[in-house]
Amino acid sequence: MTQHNKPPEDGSRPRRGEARVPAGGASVDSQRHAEFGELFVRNQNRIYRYICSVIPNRADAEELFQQTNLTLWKTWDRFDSTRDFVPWACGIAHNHIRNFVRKKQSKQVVLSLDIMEQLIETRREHDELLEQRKQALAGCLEKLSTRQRQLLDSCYASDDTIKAAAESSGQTPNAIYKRLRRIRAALYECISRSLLAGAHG
Amino acid sequence: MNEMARRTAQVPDELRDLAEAACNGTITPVQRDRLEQLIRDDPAAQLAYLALMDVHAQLQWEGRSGTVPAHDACDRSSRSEDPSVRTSASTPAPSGKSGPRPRPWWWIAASLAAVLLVAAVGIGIRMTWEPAAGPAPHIVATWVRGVGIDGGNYQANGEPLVPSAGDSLAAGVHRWERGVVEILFQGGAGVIVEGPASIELINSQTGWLREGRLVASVPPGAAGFTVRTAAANVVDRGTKFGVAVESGGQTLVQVFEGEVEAEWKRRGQENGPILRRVWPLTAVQFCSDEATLPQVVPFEPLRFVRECPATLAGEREFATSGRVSLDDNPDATTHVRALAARLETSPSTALQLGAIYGGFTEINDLTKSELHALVPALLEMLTDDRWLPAAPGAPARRSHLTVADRAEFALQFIACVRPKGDDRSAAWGAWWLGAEGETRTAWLSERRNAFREALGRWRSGAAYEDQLRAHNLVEIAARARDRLALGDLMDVLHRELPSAHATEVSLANLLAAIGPLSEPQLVPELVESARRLNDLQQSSQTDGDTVSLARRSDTLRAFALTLDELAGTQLANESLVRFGAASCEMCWIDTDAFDKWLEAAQRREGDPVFRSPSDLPGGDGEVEPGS
Repeated sequence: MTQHNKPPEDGSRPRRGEARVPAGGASVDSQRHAEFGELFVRNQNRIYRYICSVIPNRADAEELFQQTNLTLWKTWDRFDSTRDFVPWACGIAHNHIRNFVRKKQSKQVVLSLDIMEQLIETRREHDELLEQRKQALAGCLEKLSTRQRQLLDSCYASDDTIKAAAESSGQTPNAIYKRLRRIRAALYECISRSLLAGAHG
Repeated sequence: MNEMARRTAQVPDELRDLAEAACNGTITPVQRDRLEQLIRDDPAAQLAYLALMDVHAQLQWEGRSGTVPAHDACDRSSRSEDPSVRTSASTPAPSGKSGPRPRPWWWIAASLAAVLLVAAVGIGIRMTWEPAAGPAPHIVATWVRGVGIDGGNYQANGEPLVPSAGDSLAAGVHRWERGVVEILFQGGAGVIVEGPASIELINSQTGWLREGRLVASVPPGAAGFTVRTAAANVVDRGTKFGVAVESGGQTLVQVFEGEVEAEWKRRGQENGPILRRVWPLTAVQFCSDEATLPQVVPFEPLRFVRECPATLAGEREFATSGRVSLDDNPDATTHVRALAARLETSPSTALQLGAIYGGFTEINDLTKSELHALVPALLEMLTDDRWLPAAPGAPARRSHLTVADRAEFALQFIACVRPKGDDRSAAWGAWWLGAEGETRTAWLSERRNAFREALGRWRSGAAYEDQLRAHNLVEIAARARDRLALGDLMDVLHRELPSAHATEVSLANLLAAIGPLSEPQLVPELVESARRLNDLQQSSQTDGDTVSLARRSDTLRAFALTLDELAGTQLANESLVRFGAASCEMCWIDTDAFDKWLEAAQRREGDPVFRSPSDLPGGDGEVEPGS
């Protein structure tokens, strides 16, 4: 009778041009693997935000995110579980970002590499604060008006560019940018206030 | 913490302007230079910049998850009629229950809506919400058709009324025991749902599957279509995917084409919902129990009914989910034969339904005698007129299957019976396929061409069907231990290899399919392929571009691992020779390893491959194929 091994783990997506490595017959520490899987899943958001804060373009960030995830899955057994997952994973993301910028693979105007290095260092140092800010965002979104949330949806939740969103709502792109600016500023202020207030409960 | 929090609270306008430009993608090189000037060597400014960008990043993350129910808010339809938007606008965040961290507002809204809807269903309230303004119920979908529906067991919105083709459907619950239903949501997504099923139409872009199996086809304009289940929400991005709610409450998501993002909903959600992408040609199972992580399960092409059959063999004979239920029908042979006689659908559906009716995915549960009861009927199907190719010169009827289809059917059959140890049936299947006959030659050349075509289309950017075809072909051939077929397919793959990166991907995936099968007979073919690829890698080492070298390295690694599986060795690690910079992980295979693999495979035991019933020890078969 043939015995079916478990198929290759998730994350190793067979994208065009990138081969998927099948799970080998070599012995696998399934406990470690499960732990890694848990860490991977839980920290997706942090890795994505890390990438997106230096590469804000949606498509580029997505591309880098996928590349990072792929590498994380292919090299999972090199992860030393005594270390922190997030810095390790973000280090891998950073490598991909660096390659990406060096190869000038983006059509966007991007920051120069040495500034990115500094930003990444600063981020590492103040990661917890940024996490707290991110958690406060949810509560701040609730305080927006429905119209404001609709605008955010049409700009963020669809694949349309802002130009397309502008056209479909009958405004100029500039008007949209102004409104977005106000909304993002309002969110930012709200987050800052939450954090300052949060210290007191 | 407070100190740093304070430092980020005040942001200079100029920095904000530049951050905005970066977020919008409108930043000019001059602006970029100014931005860098502002933040260089200034950690406080950098932190402020990061905090600004983080807002954008998190919004982008949430947008990418697609679980924002305010998609409804962007609907053409009136907002006030939409229950989930109403709920979100009017309900404050619940305190206490969600724990110390604030929840995303849309998640709260969705879960509240769910709670309210579930409660309403529980006490039998009509699901159509009375709109704040306007008398008409909110139309969310159109009934396309139902097949095999028994009028007595169908319920729409609590009323035992089976809709007719073209009927508009309001938001509400549809529940039925038997049959396949096709519904087109107003947002553009179409679903085919297999009973027993219970599905709630929530709005033009959302359905809640409580029970049953569903396949969704979502054209690009309807991206964002969501299927909710107890264990996970699945959001679509312009794809074809299937969702099954199993009896234990688990949700299984299988993606045919494109990608979906599933939000795993667990009980006791301490850390918020977890989002999980599901790739094409994979299936993931979600449990609502927090302790069980989402698990990748084998992708089975036949798991779902993907096309609504055009006609039916009569309600009584339409087995639930299209599977032959031997308990209900002791005379399985008659049953299958009867179904076969009445299939008037397109060849591909016939093939698929035939496979389903033949219980190919369930065949492992059958005992040997049950299998024998089915085999004659199946073999008869294979030689039935409808399944034969058109005579040369005669116009092909639409219902004629190609030789390739029939052969594929036969191979699938073999692939299923062989693991049961039923070599005799497998032999008849293989005999039918014909080791030396015209059938085989025709099949091989047709299959070879089809495979090459499929690869060509895939390379030029086409889709799932081709990937699946390629994937299926090799997997089937491998499972059937059809060395000749496998060799031919690998040969085709090989000729495409130097030019098509996509082919390397398919090759690696196909190797992954073969690996677990532990069939040492396949080793020579694989070694041959691997050698060729290896030679190419070695010769390109100095002038190949990094990307090709790296990809080819991945494929070679896949070869090494698969050969280890098949030969029962552990040579992969030591056989890979690395070159280039250490971080690049480029490699080729040490050619000595090939000989070792060949040797080890020869030493391994394996059943001989049957080419005809006369290969079987002793006896002509009790089972005969149709005349």
